[in-house]
Amino acid sequence: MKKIKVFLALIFSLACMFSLVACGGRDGYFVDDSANGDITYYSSLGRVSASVEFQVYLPEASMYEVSYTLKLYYLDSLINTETFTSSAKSKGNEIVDISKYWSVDYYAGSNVSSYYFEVQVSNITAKTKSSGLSEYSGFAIGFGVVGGLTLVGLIVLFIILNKKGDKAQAE
Amino acid sequence: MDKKTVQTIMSVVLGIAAFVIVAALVSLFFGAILAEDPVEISETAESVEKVLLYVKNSSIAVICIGIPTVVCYFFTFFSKSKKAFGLISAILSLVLVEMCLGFIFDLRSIVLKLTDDVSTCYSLATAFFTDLIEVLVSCLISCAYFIVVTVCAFRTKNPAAQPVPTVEQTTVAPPAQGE
Repeated sequence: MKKIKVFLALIFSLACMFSLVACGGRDGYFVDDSANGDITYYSSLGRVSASVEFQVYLPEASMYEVSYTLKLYYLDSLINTETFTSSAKSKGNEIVDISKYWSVDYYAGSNVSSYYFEVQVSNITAKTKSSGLSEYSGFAIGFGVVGGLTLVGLIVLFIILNKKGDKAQAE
Repeated sequence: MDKKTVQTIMSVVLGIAAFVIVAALVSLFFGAILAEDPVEISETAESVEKVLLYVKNSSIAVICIGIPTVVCYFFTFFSKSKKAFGLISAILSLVLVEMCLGFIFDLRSIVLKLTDDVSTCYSLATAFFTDLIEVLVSCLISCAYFIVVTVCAFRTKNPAAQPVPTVEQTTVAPPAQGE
């Protein structure tokens, strides 16, 4: 019985170890002072176009999903805000450039300079794609737990029934 | 054919079926590991990514149930209570058959509902179906084997299942030597 307990404890600790390793995806982060861009105001079209670039540090060799929010200001008043996501691939410990061309319909007047417009990047997050739960991961998790428990149950049953068989033979 | 020859043939068929199951499970395992590679190599459509994720997760699910099933087959041969493990093997094989059927029809319905890059998605799905059908057929054969063997074991060991002697058999006495 003691051997069975040790065996079960070993399986449990291995399962915990594997689940911890699976959940260990490290997030990326924004590189300070890396954001820059260019804003152009087209008065004839009533449009503001912004080309924004920034860098993110991605620690793991994996696919990342980078999410960020762009805010367009005209004379310190917020005109428009939009959240974007883009995929980035890292080979591990890598700084990756993220660039976005953003166009907003806005008419500020005919003699307005682009100088009065400002674009801010905020809420930058970079998460590994594989670490997140996918749409069908329930299959793998559910059947994985059921399969693991079945396997442990079968091994325990095998040991118990064989012991009983040995006892019956001895008697 | 005598009983022993039939048993040998059935055992050989089960051995081949078990080998095919293991081979298909290994194939599914590597398929699951490499499933996300096309996404990393190049830009893929969202529908293709969806099918790849389905294939990956359902492959893991089949492997997770397939391993205890194959282990149970081995226990049936090496255990001292073959009836119990034979019954469990038959049940697990049936579960695996139902899982494979479910995944095949579920993925087919998902692919048919997709709107973009359907041909790529369907070719990915059919490659996955090939492995699942191998597992399905082998599990059906194994299930039939274990049901037959377990039922035979119960019939021979259980006295209630023995054929009851008829009146004629009990009353007819061997002819006396003097007659």
